[in-house]
This record gives sequence, structure tokens and C-alpha cells, in this order.
Amino acid sequence: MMNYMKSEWYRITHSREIYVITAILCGVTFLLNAVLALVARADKNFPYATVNFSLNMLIGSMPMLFVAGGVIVWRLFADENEIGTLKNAIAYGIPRHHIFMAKCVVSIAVSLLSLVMVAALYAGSACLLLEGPAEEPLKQLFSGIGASLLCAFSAVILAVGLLQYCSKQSSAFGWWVIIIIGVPAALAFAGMKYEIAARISAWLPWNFLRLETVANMSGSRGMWTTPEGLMKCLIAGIAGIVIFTFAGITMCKKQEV
Amino acid sequence: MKECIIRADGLTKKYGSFTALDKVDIQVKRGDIYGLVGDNGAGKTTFLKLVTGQIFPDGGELALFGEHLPAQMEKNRKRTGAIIEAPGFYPQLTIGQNMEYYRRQKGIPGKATVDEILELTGLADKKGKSAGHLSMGMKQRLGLAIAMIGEPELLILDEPINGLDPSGIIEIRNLFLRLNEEKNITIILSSHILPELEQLATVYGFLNKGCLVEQISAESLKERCNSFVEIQVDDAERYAVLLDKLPGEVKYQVLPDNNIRIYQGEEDSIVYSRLASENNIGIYKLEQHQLTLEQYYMNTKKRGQL
Repeated sequence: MMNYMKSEWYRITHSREIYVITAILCGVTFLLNAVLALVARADKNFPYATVNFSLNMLIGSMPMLFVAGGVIVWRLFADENEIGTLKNAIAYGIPRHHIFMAKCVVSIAVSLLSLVMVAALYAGSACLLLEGPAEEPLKQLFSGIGASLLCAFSAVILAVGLLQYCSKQSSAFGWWVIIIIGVPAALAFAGMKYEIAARISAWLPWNFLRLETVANMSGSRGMWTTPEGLMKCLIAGIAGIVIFTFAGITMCKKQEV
Repeated sequence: MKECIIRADGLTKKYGSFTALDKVDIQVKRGDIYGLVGDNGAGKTTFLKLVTGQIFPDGGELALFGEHLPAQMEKNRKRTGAIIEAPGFYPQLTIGQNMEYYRRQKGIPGKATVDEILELTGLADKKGKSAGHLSMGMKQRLGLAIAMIGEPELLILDEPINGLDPSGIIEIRNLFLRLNEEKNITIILSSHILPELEQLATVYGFLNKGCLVEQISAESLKERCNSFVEIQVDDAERYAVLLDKLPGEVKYQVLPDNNIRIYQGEEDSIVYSRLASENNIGIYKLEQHQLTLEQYYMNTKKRGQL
């Protein structure tokens, strides 16, 4: 497994994909702050050129980290079945579950590094280009990222498992969207009528990270700022990691390539 | 007695209701160059996929280096190198980077290994070239180079000379022979190019519709590919009657233009020329032939065995 991880690390660091994705994410976040600053220069009454407003966009939608993680995994492993590299690893006797686990570790490490760079540029450019107090929004942002990390890792693990298991990229993508976004949305909707659905829905990260966090012009209060909220993030994250890892190992063991 | 590297007993693989491999028994011994022969859909790739662990059998037993337990087989696969269907590599990396990737994956120490293999496969001067821009033949060479990382004891190659140009085919053939002779590497390969397989294989397995029809050594096949004499006489009918009168059963076939093909047993071709001259039958032509693998395969097909 270590050798497989080393080889994947070598490949990823010698390919353009991760650099391109990170550059795009950095570019988008920087551009966002730059546009806000430019508009504020043109219009002195423009109220949104504040650190608070900029950072609230992510604070209020932490599940974007899941999407970013999913995109990174997608770019790193999506074409493995088509180009035959997975076959080579299996033919060489690397157990399927070792391949899965190694990919998870490498994906998480790479995503984390990418996140550090993007978050640093996002927060840094906001502080440099925009007005208003920065301490509280920064605190909210970084504590929110920290609290959401385990849930984001579970989304990454799910993406790795689906891409390894499904022979078609589109199927893997579809299942990921259904599990991470579709099911929580459906349960949230059903929860309006059924108590049990509401209870389950409240424990799904896509729902609680968005719906239980308040982020607006007057400030933000992430659900992770309370001990109960933080505990919910951690429990849901750990549960997701355990469930998706177990499911990934089980599915990949039976997978034919 | 030579060690059995691959042993399949009653190996069966089904895809839904379609039986891709049906109770196949195959033995590949150390040092063999085993040629799998069969039409498309005969089960060649399915067998190789089972050996490489890409798919799982539905019945029977498969042993690799004497081990049949899945975990042990997985370990033993580290002693193999394979190309199945198409060579697998990352198109966004260069040839050298792909080799380095697999060297790390296989845990082979020393970067010099990569250069040695690239030299062997004729890719040394293309190390920095992007793998995504390679010709079919070059891709095949890269696949081979990847399979050869770590000095495998067994090479499993599905159509390894596909896409190679004539000189590439000769180079790769010589490479296989050298690896087999000098390093005693066992090779199992499938190919549609039978004349090429004939120059390599020491054992053949004929597959048809998922069944192993025949497993035969190259020596036995040579014996079985009885040479034949093709004789053109001025009166084929009378000559055929004379052949029938010869002691023992002479197998022959009357062809157009007074040609007769006589499948030789122990007889020397001189017997047939003498038979004609002693009976005042004129001979226009007398040629001695040996059946090629291709002809043997086609004849076997015609007889309905394949």
C-alpha cells in the first residue's frame, strides 16, 4: 500500500491537474475579492466590499468543500478505468482495498494542501483588498473549515470509492451527487411532513452545515461555534468516513475490471 | 519435472448467461512460451484476465506458482508482468515518468532499472516524450516496458505485437526469445498473428467458444503437422487408384488440375515418384510441404474441432 501511495503521489505531483484546479480555485476566490474591491472604488456606497461579506460566502456554504474535494478526486482518478492503469495495479497483485485506501489517503492529503493554499489566498486577499473587521470572520471561517474537514474527507472517500467501483465516470458522478446532495435534499423536503425524515436529515452534513449556520451582512454564527454543533460535525464526519470506507472496501473487493 | 507456473483446473467464467470460459484445464510450465490461439470471443483474454486477477472465476480452480488461495495468488502476482487488452499508462506523463511511476508502485529500488528496460524495448531515446502522443507501436512497447519492470518470472501478454511495425515485431520477438532463454522467463501470450506465434511458442492452447480444444507442445504439433507431398501428374485418377493399392492407408486429397496432395506417414517422397514412373504416369511437379500453424489451425477449424 505504501508503494502504491508513493507512486500516486509521484504521479499527482508530476501531472498538471492538481496545479490547474488549485490555480482555478485560487483565481476565482481572488477574483471575487478583487471585483468587490473594484466595485467599492467605483461606488463609495457599495456595502459589500467587506471581509465579513466575502468570507460569509464560504461560511454560509461550507459544503462547497465537499464539492471541491469531489472535483479534485474526479480530476485525479476519473479516467483510471479507461486508460487501464487500475488493471495494471491489480495485475501486479496490489489488493483492491489497498488501492482504494491508498487513493483515499493521497486524495485527502492533496485536497488538504490545495485547500490550505486556496483558503490562505481567499482570506489573505479579503483582508488586503476589503474593508471592515477581519478577526471575527476569519475565526468563523477557519473554525468552520476545521469543523467541516471530517465531513469533507468522507465526501472525498465516497468519490474515490465510486470512481473505483463504477466502470463509467458518469455513473460515479451521478451516485456521488445523489448521496451527497440528492438524499439530504430529499430528506429535508420529506422532513417537513415526516418526523423521522427530519431527524435523519438534521444529521446529514449537506443540510446542517448550510441550514444551521447564519451568515449575513450583520455577521455570521456557524453551527460549529457551539459545543453541540461542533460535536455534530465531528460525529457526522467520523460516521461518514467509517461508512464510506467500509462500503468502499466491500465494493472494491468484488469489483471486476 | 518442470514447475507448473499456471494451473487451471475446470476454470469457468460466466458473464450473465454467456459462458466465456467453460471448464478449461491449462498448464503452463516454467520456461514455456505458451501461445493461446483462438478466434475473437474464444476466451483468450478472459483466461488472461483471470490469471491477472482482474476478474473472478465462477468455477474451477486456478493456481499461480503453485498457490491457489486468493491472498497467496495476489502475492505471487508480484512475480508477474502483464499487458491485458491495451497497455495501461498515464497519457499526461512522459514515458520516463510512467516508468518511474510503476517502478515506485512495484517498489523496485534503483532508478537505473528504468533506463535498462527502456534500452531493451527501444524506448531509451524517447524517455522524455509524452506518452499521450505515442504511435500504436510505441504504446505497445511502453506497455511491455512497464510489464518488464521488476524482472518478472512470468509475462502475461494479450496481443503484445498488435500495432508494431515489421521491424518492431522482429525486435520484440527476439526480446521475448532472449528473455525466455537467458532469464528463463515464462511467457503466456495470445496473438492473432499465427505465423508470429509459431516462431515463439513452445506450447499451444487452442480455445474455441470458451473451451480448450487442444493443448499441445510445439514439438508434437510439428509432428502432427504432417508434411505432405503435392504431386501433379498427367492422370490423377489412375494415380489415386495406385495410391489406394499401396500397403497401409495413404491419406490423400485430389485437387484440381491433376494435383494430388498426399499426407505423408513414414513414407519418403521418392516412393510416390517411383509409383508414378513404374506405372508410366508422367510427373509435372513434386513438392514437399509442411503445414504451418495457420494451416493446422484452419484445418482443425474445417474439421469442426474448432
